[in-house]
Amino acid sequence: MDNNKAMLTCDEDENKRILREWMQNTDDLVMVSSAIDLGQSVTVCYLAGLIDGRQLDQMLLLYKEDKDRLPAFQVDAKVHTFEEVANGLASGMSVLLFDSDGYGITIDTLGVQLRSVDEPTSEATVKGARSGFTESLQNNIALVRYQFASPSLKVEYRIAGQLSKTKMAILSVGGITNPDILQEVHQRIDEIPADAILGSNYIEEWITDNRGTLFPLLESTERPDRVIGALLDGRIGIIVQGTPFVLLLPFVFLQAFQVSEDYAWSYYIGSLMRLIRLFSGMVGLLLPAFYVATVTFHHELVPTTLLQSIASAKEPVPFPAVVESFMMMIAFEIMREAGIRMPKQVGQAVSIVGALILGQAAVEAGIVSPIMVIVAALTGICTFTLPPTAINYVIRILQFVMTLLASLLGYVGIMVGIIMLLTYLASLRSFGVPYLGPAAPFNLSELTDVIVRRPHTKNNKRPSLFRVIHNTRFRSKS
Amino acid sequence: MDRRITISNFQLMALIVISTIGTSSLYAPATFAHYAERNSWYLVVVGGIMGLLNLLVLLKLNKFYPDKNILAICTHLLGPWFGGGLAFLFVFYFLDLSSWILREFSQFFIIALNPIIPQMWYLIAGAIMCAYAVYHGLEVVARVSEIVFIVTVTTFLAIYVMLINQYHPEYLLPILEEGLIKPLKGLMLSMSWFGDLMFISMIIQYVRKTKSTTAYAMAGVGITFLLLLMSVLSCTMLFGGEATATFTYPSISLIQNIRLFRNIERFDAALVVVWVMSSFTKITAYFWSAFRGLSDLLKLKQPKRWIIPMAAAFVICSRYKVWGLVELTSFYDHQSWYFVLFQLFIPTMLLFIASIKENMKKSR
Repeated sequence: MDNNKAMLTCDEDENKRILREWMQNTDDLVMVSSAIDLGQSVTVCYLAGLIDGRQLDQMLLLYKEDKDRLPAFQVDAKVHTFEEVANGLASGMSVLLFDSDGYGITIDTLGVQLRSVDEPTSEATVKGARSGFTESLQNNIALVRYQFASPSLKVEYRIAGQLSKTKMAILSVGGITNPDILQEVHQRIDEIPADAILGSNYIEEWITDNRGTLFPLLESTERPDRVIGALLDGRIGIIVQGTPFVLLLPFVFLQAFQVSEDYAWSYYIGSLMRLIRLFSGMVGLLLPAFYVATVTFHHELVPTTLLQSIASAKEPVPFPAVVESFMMMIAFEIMREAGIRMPKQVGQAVSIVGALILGQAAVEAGIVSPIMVIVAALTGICTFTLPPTAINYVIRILQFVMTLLASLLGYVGIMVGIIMLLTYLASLRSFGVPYLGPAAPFNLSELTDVIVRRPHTKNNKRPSLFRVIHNTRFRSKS
Repeated sequence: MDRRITISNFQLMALIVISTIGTSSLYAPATFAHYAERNSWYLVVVGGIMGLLNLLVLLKLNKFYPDKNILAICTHLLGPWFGGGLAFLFVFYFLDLSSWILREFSQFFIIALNPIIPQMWYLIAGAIMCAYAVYHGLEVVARVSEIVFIVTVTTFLAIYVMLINQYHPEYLLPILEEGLIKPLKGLMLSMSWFGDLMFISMIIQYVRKTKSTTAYAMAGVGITFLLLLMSVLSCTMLFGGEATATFTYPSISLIQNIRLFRNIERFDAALVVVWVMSSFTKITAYFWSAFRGLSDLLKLKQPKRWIIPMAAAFVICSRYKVWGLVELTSFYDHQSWYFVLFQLFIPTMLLFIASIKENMKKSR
């Protein structure tokens, strides 16, 4: 028991006793002895509920019919130690213990009920594929392979988490992905000392370049088409068992404004949507700050008629603009958070409370000015246009910082904030790739597929940003 | 510094353009007009040529010693004592210049934007912003400067284009009626503005050199020249030579003349954008140079610790350097030889000595 290399014995009862001990005397461990052949008895062990009983029966019957066919359906090689048996049982295998010979074989009979392939809720599209990843690792790999039926797609399994033994698959494309980056990914994953990996964010936090940063240095997505697009750009995907969110890396800042639907529409529409997202990202970041700076310091820059209406609206409000904007922004964040947590049945109540009380009544009571309500609402809506990556949340956090700076130094404060933000972004790297690329280091031809979208027929170069081996997608016939 | 710092040609160009154009183009038209009235464009042209010359001197010096910055060249050529002293003078120049620009940075906001906020706040904000960038190192500064370059140049172009229907080209006439020599009184000043690119003598050793490095650097001076020319020309064509000379920041008045759809006006915010961004790049470039020079000369073990004291010193120096804009501009006006000395004369002298030394080596 102390010895991890404890070998299986040749005694049936002894094996059962030790195995039971290994499995913490758990009640759902089933061990049935059955005589398969004359003179030879096996013990069939499995965890009840975790396995598919029909499949196990089928396997056993097949085995009884023809013993030589066993290698055809056995998944793993023979196991000789209790540790292997216990690990196999815990991950949903059935183990046949040949007691007299002191070894066992494991059969993959995992039969757990998982969600079926569904439309991804966080990345819904109007046009484009509707299937999203699920919690099953095998199924997720299959979804990728289904759309990307190429032998150059490479899947490498890794296991992380000392206790949770979470399986994950590293996806790359031979001949495109840079082997140095792949090597780096392997190294970082192998070095994870965590005891449990309960989702892709656990991996993300362990392997990110900068653990202290607010910005996501890896992307996560629920959509197979997005993963394939990333793989073809020379990026690497990590599918973690038990979560529908697949990690993509390296990730650069401007990719946060892309959604896969851009490629489903004509490139004019795709480009326009992308520009709108960029614009609304900026509005989301800066509008409250701009309003506060203007109202506090720079009245003279507002056209007179507009200034009059702003002033008369603000007149009954006893708070300075910065307090007002913080109140509204915090109220908005609370409503948004409540909206996620809330049961669907009471959803209407919150929207009524939000619209009437926080909007109209607050204005009529003279707590906030109507202009501030417009600003807060517009800001909130703007951040909803971005795909739900962490950048979305980062922008909402930085809103507050920017507003604070604006209340101290006016427009200068905003600009100082922007410059420091840019400096910080420029200092980040995701797996060696500059986070602000391709804007800085500047590369015009690559920006044409980041800020806007290139037509598929003109998209014949992979981004060199991810240091791909083979740069050409296709040669256009001219 | 484990990894070798490299910056690209484009980044070099961006640094040259912004640090030269951003701050000067705001009040250059007024000062030039003061000397040459409607012929101030001529000063820009001559200044641009001198700027190109200045650039060539620095590039040539770099060709002799590709992995040395100007401080190392000083000590290499003139020995540890005299050369070291000169190198210290250079570091002092960088330090001094950083605080000058920091003061300019804050002075602009006091005068043009908002006199309510105390100057100290602007100084502190500027110093923090630049110290943060210096802390992250040259590569980061260079990358940010690329974005700054694009934003700044587009904004300037947009300003000049939006004014196009208000220009009076006849204000430029008669051209050079007083001959070619008389307007050159302000040449020293013009040179000192173009000479702001001298900080590249500290960074050029990190540029990933290709065939087109020289071309990019010269393009940088070219873009600076064009933008400065445009700003001078548009001021003259809008206000006339004499009126331009009376403004403190003619570019602000330029922007205030923009009017779209009858009542959308006052694009001053655009100027704040340009000013903060370009001052940032300029201060950071000099701050970084001073920081680098200081840590090289004193062989500091943990140079990053010195950034905060340096930034604090900049704030204090800038605050008490001069009492106001009048003194600031008059210093720039009358003591511009001080800048040109370090920008052009000493590097030329070094180049001279270097070429003699190299020739002697060859002949031996």
